[in-house]
Amino acid sequence: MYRSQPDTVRVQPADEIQIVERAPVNRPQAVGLVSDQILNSPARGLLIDACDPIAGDWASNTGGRLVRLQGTFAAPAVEWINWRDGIARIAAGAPVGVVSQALRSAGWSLPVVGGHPNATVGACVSTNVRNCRTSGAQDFGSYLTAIEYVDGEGIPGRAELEGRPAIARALIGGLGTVAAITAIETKIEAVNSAWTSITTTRCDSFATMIESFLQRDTTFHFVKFDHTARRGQLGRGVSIAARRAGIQELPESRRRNALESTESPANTPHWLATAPTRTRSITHLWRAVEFQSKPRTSTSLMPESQLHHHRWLGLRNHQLSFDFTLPLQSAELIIWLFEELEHAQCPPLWASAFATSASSLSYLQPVIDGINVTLTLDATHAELSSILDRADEAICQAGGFVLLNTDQRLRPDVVAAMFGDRELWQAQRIACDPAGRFVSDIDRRLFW
Amino acid sequence: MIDGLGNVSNLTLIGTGNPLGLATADRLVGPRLRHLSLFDSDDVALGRATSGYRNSGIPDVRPVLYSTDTRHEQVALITEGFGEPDTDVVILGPPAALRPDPTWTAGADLNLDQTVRAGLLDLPVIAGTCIDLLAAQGHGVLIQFTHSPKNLRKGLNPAYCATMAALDTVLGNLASLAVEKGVDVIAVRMSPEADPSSALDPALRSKAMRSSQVASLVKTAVTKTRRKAPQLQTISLPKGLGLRR
Repeated sequence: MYRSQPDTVRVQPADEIQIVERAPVNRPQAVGLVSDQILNSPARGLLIDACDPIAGDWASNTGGRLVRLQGTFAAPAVEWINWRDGIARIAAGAPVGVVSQALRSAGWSLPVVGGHPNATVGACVSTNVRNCRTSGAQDFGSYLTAIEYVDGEGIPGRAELEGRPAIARALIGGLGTVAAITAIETKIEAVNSAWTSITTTRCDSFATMIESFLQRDTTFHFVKFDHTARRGQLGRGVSIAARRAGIQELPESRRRNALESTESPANTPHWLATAPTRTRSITHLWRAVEFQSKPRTSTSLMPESQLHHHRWLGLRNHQLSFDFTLPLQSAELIIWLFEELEHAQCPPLWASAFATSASSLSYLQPVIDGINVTLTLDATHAELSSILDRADEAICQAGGFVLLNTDQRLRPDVVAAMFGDRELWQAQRIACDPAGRFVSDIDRRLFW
Repeated sequence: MIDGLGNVSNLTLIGTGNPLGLATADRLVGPRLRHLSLFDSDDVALGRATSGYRNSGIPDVRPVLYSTDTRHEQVALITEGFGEPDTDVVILGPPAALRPDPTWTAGADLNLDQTVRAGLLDLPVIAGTCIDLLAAQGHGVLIQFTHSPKNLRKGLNPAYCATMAALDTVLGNLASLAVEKGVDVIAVRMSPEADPSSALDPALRSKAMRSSQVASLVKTAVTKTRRKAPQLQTISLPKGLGLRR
């Protein structure tokens, strides 16, 4: 079911935005406009806009033509919901935060609510975002049922993920260099309320933190390392477990605004939101998880789901994100890295981790049983480059990998050793885009 | 491609006879640098720079000698030097500051010596070629050095300073064109006194900046090209003199 919307395809050359506006057109016509833009672009010169400051490397515009999907590719964010099977069709150009809000208003949630809220859904597929689920699959691609795209020759296509076709595996985590994703169909989850119940527990040692990873009784679970810790205290932090709050758990004032269950005319379960959900500053959450100033265990926190799960943390120009996954048996490498950073007087500005479990369709974005660690570092530090180069090699030898969707500094030779399915991805990429029109900054740095 | 820490993997230096260009290249040399292309019309300066960089452990150093005032040959050589992989940064080094003929006196006709030829005949051709090649890549940074035009005080090299002042106009226009084509440009505009190459007598360099100071400022500007649309960054030196365009 397509809705007719005014279409705007924006093409951004190097320095300015040229707005090409047309009269209201239907979706096939809009796809035709995108095909024209692809066919008229030079080789190695077309970036698909992701609006994602976290994945700053591949989404940033450092030359080339930038195509931004708008109009029918962005609104409505949720085109339809299959209530019986729990499947939604979502526009690829819509910000994932808007999609989360639209789904939640109808009583549903994305199965993976990660990434920056301003990142487009197409970017979330292209980077295969993940979140800290402690059970089931953790990456966005595992829940997709179909992807619609326009390939490098301007031909629209649709990939059903039931048989795990090669094109779908190349698109998921393909860093925007395989094709322009125009819409997705994904599984969704029914939720009881718009709020999340959080329990924080202080862990005084790294061993206690590792033990907390093994608890799988909550929906979401991650740890925030105390980045101010020194010497023997390295690795301590706060364990944060979260689950979706039930209506009965909510305070009376919020219960009135909670979601109510009604019967739809077709006798299918239907959830309605009676009022707009309230927003709350996430600083309230982070203020509460500071290591030393709070009691050992706290269960009184209940922020809104979207604020808890979508990462609002934007990187500044002098900051660098280092995001990697290690097998559980190699967890000591985390402490080694903390010690190296402390020795160089370059402690992380942020450090967090969550457990991962093996399940992924993507060629380039594998998920293994282990720990995913996210560090934010001061990029201006002189010794950081050599420390992280050594860390890359150690992670690779331990069987782990550095996440490509936030990477800004990996070496091509290390990438070749980390990702075994790289050749399969390259082959599928060449098949989809023989002229090599799609490009991204990370692609220029790692795969040329 | 320049990575998130500002490391460059493929660097091109045009002109190896001026300390500003060499110091900037030195500052951008790092563990990630794999390819360094050196272009010059002076074989002595080119040979000295090539051996120096080869000794520093860069895996691939490619020296290219071109003849001055040979437009087609220069374009062909530069184009050939822009092979795989992509060039991240092009340093358009100032011409070597040769001393004028000792018999030259103020007011006499200015001979087209080697500095003037290299600056006003070769550099605009090379700059235009580099801009086209960087634009074809879809990314890249061009670094250029010029002087802000002003009356020269006594003791400065007139041929060099006149060349650099004229380049300010020529390269300034080319820089605007480059940004339109999607190339990042870092333009260093110096007061003639601040340029360490300007003084005829080393004893009169009291107002000159060190080349390494200028190179550090350029390095910071290169790092800032990340996550931004292509633009023209102008570094006016010395700071605080209001030498803005």
